Amino acid sequence: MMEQVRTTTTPVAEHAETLERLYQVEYVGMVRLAFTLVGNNAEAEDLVQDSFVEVSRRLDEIRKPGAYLRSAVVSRCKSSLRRRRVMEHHRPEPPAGLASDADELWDVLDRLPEDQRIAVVLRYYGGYRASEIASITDTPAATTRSHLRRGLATLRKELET
Amino acid sequence: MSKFTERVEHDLSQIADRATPSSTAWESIQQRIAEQTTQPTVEVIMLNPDQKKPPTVSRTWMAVAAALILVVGIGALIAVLNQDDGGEIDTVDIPEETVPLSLEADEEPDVIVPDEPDEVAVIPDDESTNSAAVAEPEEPLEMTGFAVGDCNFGAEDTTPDDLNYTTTQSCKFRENNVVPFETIQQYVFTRYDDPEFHDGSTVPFTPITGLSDSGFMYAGYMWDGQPSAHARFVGVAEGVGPYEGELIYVSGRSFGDEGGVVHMQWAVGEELSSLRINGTDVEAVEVTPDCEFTGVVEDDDADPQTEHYTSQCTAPDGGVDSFDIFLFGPEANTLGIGSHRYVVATGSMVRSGLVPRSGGPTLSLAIMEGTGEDEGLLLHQLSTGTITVEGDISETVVQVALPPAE
Repeated sequence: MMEQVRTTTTPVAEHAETLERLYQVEYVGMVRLAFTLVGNNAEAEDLVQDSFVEVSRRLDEIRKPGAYLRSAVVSRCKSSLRRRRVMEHHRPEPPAGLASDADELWDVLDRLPEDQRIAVVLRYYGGYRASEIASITDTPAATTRSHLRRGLATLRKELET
Repeated sequence: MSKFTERVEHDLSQIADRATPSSTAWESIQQRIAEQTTQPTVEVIMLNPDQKKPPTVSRTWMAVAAALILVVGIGALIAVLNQDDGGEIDTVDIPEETVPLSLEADEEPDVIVPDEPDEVAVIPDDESTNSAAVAEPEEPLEMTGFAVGDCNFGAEDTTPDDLNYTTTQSCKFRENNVVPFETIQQYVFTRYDDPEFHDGSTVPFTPITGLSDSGFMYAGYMWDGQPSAHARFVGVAEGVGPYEGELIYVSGRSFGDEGGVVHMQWAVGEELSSLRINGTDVEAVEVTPDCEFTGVVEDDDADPQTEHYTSQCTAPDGGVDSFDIFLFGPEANTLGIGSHRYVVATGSMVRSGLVPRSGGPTLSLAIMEGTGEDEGLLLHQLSTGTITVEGDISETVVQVALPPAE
């Protein structure tokens, strides 16, 4: 008698597929976002890869890996910025090869408090709305809007004078 | 989008373009995952060095258990004492629906979990306000500059249709050193309640005629139709010069089994920049929604005479995509108040309603609800130039217009 063969996709294989799809869709964008926040390519990649590992570890529990990944990346960037500020106020060098305008923006951006910086980058680089930023950063919407307003006001003040 | 924000976008994009994602990143990730999953697990067997001695852990647990029993006992005793104390137990504003506070990062919550309720003071429940006098709250409300006046409640009266109570309240402001209250010496309001007031009673907006030499205010309740939910008491300045039409007073109130709970808020200023919630300055958010009326919605939960009008509004960067407005059908023809409801929109909730004013434009208000830190925040206020009701209610057109710029 011929043995009946049943093909199944194991959870492990499903996970791998999901993760790879996520990588293909999100990796480059997340590295750019992280780079815009921390200003260092190696660190940005490290943070994003760390986030992917976390997503992989919790894939069983999370419903929206993409959203989780974004939050994880931003959260890691925030921690990194905070650490950096604590450690002797070390400021990253502007990324090489920037046009002077962008260089100027980078300089001001780097002086913003982490929350404002994250809000501004997510809004004006990531294109997220305030409510989405609030969700990504797990911050109340009004607080997020306040970070946005203040961050933008500082940028305007510094860049337009 | 302004030139400046365009520049910010452009420059940020230039910065991001400098990132150079590694071509071997996927391999790195896989390697990291593999390293993590192959971490050896070590079973550690803890040896008890001296079997004869009773384990210290047991002693600790016994101590903990004894402490717990003591705490529970004291708690029970307090509860019993409180019950005997006429049921005067502090109540707090508990959200009807709760979701786990520890949200996973991937979970984009349908609603933002409200923070812990603000500290509130207990005031007499609403039934008691329908009858006789009202006692002062046990704890004075934390407010800066504005305190509820000494209130004496007038006699109850019954309206001709026997459906409503009319309660007249006369209040005198205790402190009048804050504009515009310095011009409002006292106010009187008439309130209409369901004679058998119950949670969720939907009561039309109640005009208040405040009397003073130089000004008065209109105020009233905005009720939620849901049980055990909130009501808003709003006051709009009338005849007070520069504050004309301003929302000058808002208080929130919820009604549960233990009576009403109130938290006080007030607002002064043309731009509502000093809106306060529970005595704490908060930032007023200016939103100018671009509204498009989308029709009448049947809502079984609403008051039978209420039509639910949906206005889809866009609020740029306001975190709210749309809000709904309730209007009472019959009252809509006479610029009556609409009730209000919770609307979930992109993680935020808005309660909105319309406040009619005598001889003036109707004021439309939207107040954040269930949004934790934003709780009670006036999100949107606009005077409506016109509310036109034409033809059959199902074809009603509601025009919402911004007041003319001064």
